[in-house]
Amino acid sequence: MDMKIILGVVIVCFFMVSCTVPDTVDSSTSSEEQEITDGFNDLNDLDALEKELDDIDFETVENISFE
Amino acid sequence: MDMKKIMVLCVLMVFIVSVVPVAFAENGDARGRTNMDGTTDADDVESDTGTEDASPELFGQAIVTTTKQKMEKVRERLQSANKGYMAAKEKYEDAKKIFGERKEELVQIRERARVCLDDTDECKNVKRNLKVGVKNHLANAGDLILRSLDKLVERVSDSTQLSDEEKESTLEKITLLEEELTALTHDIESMADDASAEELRDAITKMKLSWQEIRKEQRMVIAALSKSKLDNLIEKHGEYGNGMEMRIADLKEQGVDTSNLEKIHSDFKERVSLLEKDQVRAQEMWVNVKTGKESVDEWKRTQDILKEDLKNTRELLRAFIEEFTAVRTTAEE
Repeated sequence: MDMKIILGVVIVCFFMVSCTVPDTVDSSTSSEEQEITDGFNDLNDLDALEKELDDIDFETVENISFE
Repeated sequence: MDMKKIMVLCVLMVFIVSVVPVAFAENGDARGRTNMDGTTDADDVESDTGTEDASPELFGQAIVTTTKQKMEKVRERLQSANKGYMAAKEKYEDAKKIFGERKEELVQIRERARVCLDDTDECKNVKRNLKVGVKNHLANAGDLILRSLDKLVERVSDSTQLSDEEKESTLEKITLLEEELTALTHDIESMADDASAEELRDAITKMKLSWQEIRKEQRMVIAALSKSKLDNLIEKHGEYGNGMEMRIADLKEQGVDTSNLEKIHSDFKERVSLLEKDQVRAQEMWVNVKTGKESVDEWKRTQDILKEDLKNTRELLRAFIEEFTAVRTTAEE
C-alpha cells in the first residue's frame, strides 16, 4: 500500500514536470522576430507618451467668469 | 530497510526532477531559439565560452555559467536603464491622478459659482474657492507637464539609437523648457487666493502657451526617437536576409529540398526592397519636417506605412523559421 502511494507521488511529479518544461522553452519565436516585436512595443510606448499632454485641458478654466 | 531505501530513492528522484525545469528555464532561450544568422543562441554561447577542448563536464558547466552571467548582465542593464524611466512613469501617474481629482472638484465649484449670483458671504466664499481652484488647476497642469517631460528625458537618455550630440542638444532644449515651466508654476502657486480676474486670465494664457510650446517640442523629440528606432530595425533586415541565405545554403549542402524556404526568402527580399523605398520617402519627408516645410502629422503617415511594411517582413521571418524548423527536423529524422 505504501509502495503504491510512493509510486503515485513519483508519477504525479513526472506529470507536473512534463507540464512545466514545454512552457519554459519557446522555440517558436526567433530573436529577429522578437526584435521587431520589441521595436513595435517601444514605438507604441512613444506614441502613448506623445498623447500624454493631450490629457491636459484648459477649457475647464478658460471659460470661467470671475466677476 | 527496503522501505527506507525506496524513500531515499524517491526523495532523490523528486530532487533531480525539480532541478530539471530550472535547467531548462535558464537555458531555454539559448537552446530553443533559432536565429536568422544561421545559428542558435546556444551556438553563440558555445563560441563565447571558448572551452571547446574542455572536458564534457567542465564544458557543460561553462555554458551554464556563461549563460547565467550573460542573463544577469542583460537583466542588470535593463533594470538600470528602466529604473529612471519606471520611477518617472510612477510619478507621472501620481500627478495625473491628482490632476484628475482636482479637476473634478473644480468643475463642481464652477457649477456652484455659476448659479451663485447674490452678493452674500456664501457666494463670495464660493467665488473665492473658484479662484483658488483655478490657481491649483494651473499649478497641477504645470506639474503634470513636468512629470511627462521627466519621462521624455529618460527616454532620450536611455536611447541607444540617438548619438551623444543629438542627446545633448535635445536634453538642452528640454531642460530650458522645464526651467521656464518650473518658474511659471512657482509664480502661479505664489499668487494670492483672491487674485484678480485679470491676473488669473494672464496665468491661464501663459500656462497654455507654455503647454503648446512644450507639446510641439515633445512631438519633435518623440518623432526623432521613433525615426531612429525604425531606421535601426530596417537596417537589421540586411542581416536577416543574409541569415536566410546561409541557412538555405547549409540545408542544400545536406541535400535537403529548400524550395519553400527559397520562395519565402524571395518574398522577403521583395518586401525589404519595398520597405527601403518607403524609408527613402520617409527620409525625404523628415528633412522637410526639420526645415518646417511639412508637418509632423504628414511625416507620421510615412511612419505608419513603414510599420505596415515591417509587419509584413515579420510575418515572413516567422514563416521562414517555421518552415526551416520543419525541414531541419525532417532532415534529422
